[in-house]
Amino acid sequence: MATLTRTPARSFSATLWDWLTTVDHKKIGILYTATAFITFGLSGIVAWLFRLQLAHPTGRLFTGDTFNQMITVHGAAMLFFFIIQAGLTGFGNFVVPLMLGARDVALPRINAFSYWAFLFSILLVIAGLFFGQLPEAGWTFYYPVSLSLGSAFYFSAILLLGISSLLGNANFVATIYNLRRRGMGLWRMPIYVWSVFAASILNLLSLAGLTAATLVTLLDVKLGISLFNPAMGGDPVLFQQFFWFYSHPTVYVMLLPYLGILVEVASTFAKKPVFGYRAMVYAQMGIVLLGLLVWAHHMFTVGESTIFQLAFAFFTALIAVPTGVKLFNILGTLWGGKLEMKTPLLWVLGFIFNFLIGGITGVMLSMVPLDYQFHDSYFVVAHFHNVLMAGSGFGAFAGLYYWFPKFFGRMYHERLGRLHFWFFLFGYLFTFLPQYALGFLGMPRRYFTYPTEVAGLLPLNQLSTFGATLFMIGGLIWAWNMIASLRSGPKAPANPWGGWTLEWLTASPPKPHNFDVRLPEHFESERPLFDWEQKGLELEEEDPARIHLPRSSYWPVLTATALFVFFLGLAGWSWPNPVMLVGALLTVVGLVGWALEHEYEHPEHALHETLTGKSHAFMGMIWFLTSEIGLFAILLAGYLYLRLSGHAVPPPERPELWLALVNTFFLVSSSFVLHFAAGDLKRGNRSSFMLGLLVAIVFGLVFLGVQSYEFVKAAHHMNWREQLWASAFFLVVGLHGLHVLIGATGLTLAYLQGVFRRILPQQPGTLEAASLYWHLVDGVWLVIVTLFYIW
Amino acid sequence: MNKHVIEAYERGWMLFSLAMILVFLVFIGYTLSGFAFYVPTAAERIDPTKVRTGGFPAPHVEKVGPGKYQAYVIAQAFTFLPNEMHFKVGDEVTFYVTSPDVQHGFYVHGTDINVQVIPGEIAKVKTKFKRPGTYMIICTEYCGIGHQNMLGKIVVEE
Repeated sequence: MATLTRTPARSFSATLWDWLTTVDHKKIGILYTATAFITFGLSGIVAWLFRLQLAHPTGRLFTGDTFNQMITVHGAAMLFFFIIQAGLTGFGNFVVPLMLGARDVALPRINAFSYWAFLFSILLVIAGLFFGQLPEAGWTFYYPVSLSLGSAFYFSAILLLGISSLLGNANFVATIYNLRRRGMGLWRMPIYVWSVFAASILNLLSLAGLTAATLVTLLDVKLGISLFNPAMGGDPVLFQQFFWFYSHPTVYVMLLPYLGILVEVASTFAKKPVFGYRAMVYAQMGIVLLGLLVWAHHMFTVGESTIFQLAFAFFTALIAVPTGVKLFNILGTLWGGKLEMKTPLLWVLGFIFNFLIGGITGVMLSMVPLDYQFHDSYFVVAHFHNVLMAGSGFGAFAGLYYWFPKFFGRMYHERLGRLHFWFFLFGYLFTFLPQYALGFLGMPRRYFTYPTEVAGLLPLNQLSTFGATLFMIGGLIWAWNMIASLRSGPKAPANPWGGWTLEWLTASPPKPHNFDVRLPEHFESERPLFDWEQKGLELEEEDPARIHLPRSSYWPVLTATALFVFFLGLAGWSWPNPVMLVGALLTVVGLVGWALEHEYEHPEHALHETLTGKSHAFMGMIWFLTSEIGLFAILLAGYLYLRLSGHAVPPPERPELWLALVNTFFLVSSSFVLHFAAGDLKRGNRSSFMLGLLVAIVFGLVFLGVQSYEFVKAAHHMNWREQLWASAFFLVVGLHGLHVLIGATGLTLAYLQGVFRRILPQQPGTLEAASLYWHLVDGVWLVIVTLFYIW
Repeated sequence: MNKHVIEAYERGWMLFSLAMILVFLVFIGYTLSGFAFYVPTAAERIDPTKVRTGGFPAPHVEKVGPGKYQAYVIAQAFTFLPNEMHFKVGDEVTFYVTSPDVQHGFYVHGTDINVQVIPGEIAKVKTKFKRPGTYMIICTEYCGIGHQNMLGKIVVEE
């Protein structure tokens, strides 16, 4: 009889279509997690291969450029595509809405788009292969070694990934603000939600540094526009400032979600509440703040002033404090608990001991004089693998085993899970502990061979390669465990570990609408299931008529594909080229289709009440804009530095001020017109709203027209390849022009929605987000006029 | 249940970590004020295209006083010029290093010399050789396909 009730297996193409068009946060979470862990596996194999090369100094397996490409791809893939993604966008997408008691994230289609853009950015790095070159300048791509075609693909990928991750971060913040179950205060959120919140904010605040560094270097490769080129007065150190302004905070983006996971796992398996919940939240937010103040400890050998070095040494040592608080909190949570030694908990224990070593060697590196002994040596390699592999990596596996039953509805194989852990633990110890010693002996990073006359290099390298082999065996066991458990693991109960957070209230795997029951609005602590059980609360069934889910949509994946074509064009050929133009056009087509589609079956279902009273689009856009402000701020700071230090001198014949002022008039007026148009919409005056919106768009286009004229004229008497000021001018003013173009596109989408009667006073569609963006672009322009035309 | 006990623990723990932060601050402040660092500096800017054509002194070591030397070093892909330098124990040497191409590292293993050689800048770094022996000069910043061959040496004699 069972066969009668079983739903017929769907065809492969139907399943594929379902996954391509899904907006379900759980499916997107699975896609993210799977992509991230597969990348981890592949990138691990690459690492093992180059460890084989390093087993002997005369090795001829992978040398020269091949070796350099391998280490670059290994680093980039592990950092950008695995460790940032697994804990934040992977588990985060799946688990955070469940922990909040929500049915989906705030912006489900944006979420789908983020995933596809992320996947395409991986493909973009690989695409370099078909053009003959992978990136080879190291994942840090220091200027000017990174002026190459392979690196251009890498830059393109990072820019695309940047869009993806900013949208993802803004989405998380909006979800956490708006979609908590009524009654769940911020101080009642599970610690993992807090850590996703903290990591998202940190990424939104700091990503601009990476965007600035990649954008300027890409422009240098393609057009010769540069702020870094010393031949025309630029400063390569500025590249490092930009780069590390992002790339140090991002190690906390790589760490925070995992700290959250480890705490959740510790609490569940010790059967105790989280120890020092508030201290932990403060520590997390402290890490966000301090994380933004330590970037220059990567640059102690650059030759900055003593006071500069001391300040950064100070903050770097200081950041050990909140990190230590977190470690003690995990210990406190475990202390006195009845520890259930299951695989997830093993990773937590492995983390505690090894992360401690990583933390202490980090403090060693913060001490400036000591840093001169270690800078760019294997000591540093050992240190960051210590914190990333035995820290975040172990956290990722703790999370994977912990939520595996929830994700897939099947249990993993416990024995294999433990075996995997032990192989990884010893693999890690054998691979990376010898590397500390290699660093002391003076072996630098990014070497495919080493001098044999230095005693100790050979045996230590071989020990390290042996460790990498243990990793490989552990990896095979892990892969086997995953595949076998997915196919035939025993069915998982809803709450296999006795967890107390809301995700364990759902079925394993959760149904599309997540919760069958109506959640109470009563939250006493971050462990609602425990509190409700103590109170003896009976949970009522939710009325199915009240459950509304967003519809699947193919526009996100199509738009992401179009954007991929655009970025492929950016990387692969000289500018402008037909590929990037086609990509840009298709992207606009995708956005139009997206804007005109209803997110819900019945549009009125989109009118959810939110906890803050602000719409999701508003919340998401506000946070997204912080990153845009950051981008202009960091580029303008670079320009100010070059200008004030006397290197970027404006030429006598500058773009004319009166023209810029005319443009200012148009842009500022358009903002006012837009503001009044939005007011008209609220009052229900539709025709006047549409007219106002149209005028705002036309003013924006006039601005772009005048600017194009100005650029063509300026290009005749200013050479951006030779004059630093001209480079900075075309870079910053041009980037702003691009923002005006994007803003005008957003307003046009809102206008089209108006034409098709998709905009209602209560339901402003794209208008809210587009006008926020427009006002920001307007504000930035005033700063630019002052700094580039008036000064 | 025993919620109050946990809150007391929490309070105690927060006080303890606050005290720890204060102790750390005092320690770090004392360390930073009590010891003098010698840090490498960017001595001056230079047009990297003119390093080889007279913008920078030809690579050499010159004596500027008793036991005092100045060394002008060009770090280029993939060698140091001069590649070998000789000093006596007790000599105080100031190195001026620059690069005509990409960035390199100038790390003298076993000493506190480690400076990034940025194209467009002249790095200045100073040390006193206290022990005899052969010191390796190592390029620590990835600079291209020959990075691992970029080695030089300093011989310090009694």
